[in-house]
Amino acid sequence: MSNKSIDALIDDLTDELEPRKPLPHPVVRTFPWAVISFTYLAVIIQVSGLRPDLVHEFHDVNFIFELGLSIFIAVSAFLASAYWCVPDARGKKWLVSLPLMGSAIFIFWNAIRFIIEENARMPDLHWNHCYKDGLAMAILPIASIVIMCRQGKTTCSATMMSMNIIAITSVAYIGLRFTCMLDTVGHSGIAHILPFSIVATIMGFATHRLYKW
Amino acid sequence: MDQSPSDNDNHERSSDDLWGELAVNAQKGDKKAYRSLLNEIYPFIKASLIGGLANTDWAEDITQEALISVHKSLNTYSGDRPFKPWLMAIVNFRRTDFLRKHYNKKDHEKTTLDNPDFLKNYVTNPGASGEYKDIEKALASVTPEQSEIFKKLKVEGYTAKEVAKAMNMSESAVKVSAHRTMKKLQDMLT
Repeated sequence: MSNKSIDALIDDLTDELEPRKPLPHPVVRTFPWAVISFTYLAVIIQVSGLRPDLVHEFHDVNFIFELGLSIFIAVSAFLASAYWCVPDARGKKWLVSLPLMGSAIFIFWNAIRFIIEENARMPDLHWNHCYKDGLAMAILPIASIVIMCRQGKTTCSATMMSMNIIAITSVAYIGLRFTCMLDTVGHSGIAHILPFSIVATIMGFATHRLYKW
Repeated sequence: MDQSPSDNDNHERSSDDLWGELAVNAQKGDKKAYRSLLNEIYPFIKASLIGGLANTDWAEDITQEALISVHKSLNTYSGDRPFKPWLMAIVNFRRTDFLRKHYNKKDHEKTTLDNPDFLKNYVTNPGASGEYKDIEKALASVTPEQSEIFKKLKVEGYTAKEVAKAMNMSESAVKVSAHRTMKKLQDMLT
């Protein structure tokens, strides 16, 4: 390409320039997402109905630990998404390790529970209820996270999409802990997480299309 | 005079600061600052690419793509961050994207006879003449008549009918002769 065409390109880009509002700091962008997602989650939980033994569960250390871990994974995954939708991730690429570490602890924790409890039963009665509730809980967080990430320009769409999926799965998982009375690992794995694995696979195929720029 | 390391550091820091300032002004709509920024980063991007590519022409294409990407993602630059890591993330992304597309299309396996590099390397390169000498040596092992028929038909591009007329032979005899010569050359050269 000649210098003339580079000059012409620079001329064109300069002519097209309009004032751009810089993208707010990722932490600032995380806050509205968290408010929107958790408010929406609260509404869906109210509509679906709280589990009757919720007050009792809040005295269970295991329940509190799992809930806290899920909130940590959701928020850190969203924060990582917010950083990764900027080309250089603002120098904080290591942030992906937080939700990944949280997820690893979650899997390890459930593996231990599975061995100790020896209970992987999943009554059919609760399948549709959890499936529908989980998807309903995820719709708005999915939309908001994709819209937020599309405001930026990622240079690693696969990593960012992985973070999106972990965040959304965690949000829905938190919601289902408030509505579903079945605490067994088998039920959680199949009814609370598996549907999101399917959604994640579909979103994975759409990654390039969603975040192309 | 050689620049000391501290001079280089100062130069790095100053160009990064300058580009960062220009980018912040460009975000506010300052076209003059934006033009300066693009003119400044263009040679930097090209220089950073040119050493790591198999074909130096690609550097120009990727630089162009990178400039367009800088334009599209200008709002993602933050004035409180250094400019070069942001720019290089875009440049590396575009380089990877370009190479992925290029190799997916198998463009590296295609060329045309208009490509001067190809002509220089494979057609007019005296270093490659040894390959043709092998063929000439093999042709010397057949009869002069067979050699002449083969050269006229397969090298010079005459038709079997034209060769037959020139050699005062039947057309089918020319084809048989050329076929036998070809077979013999294949046996000798493989």
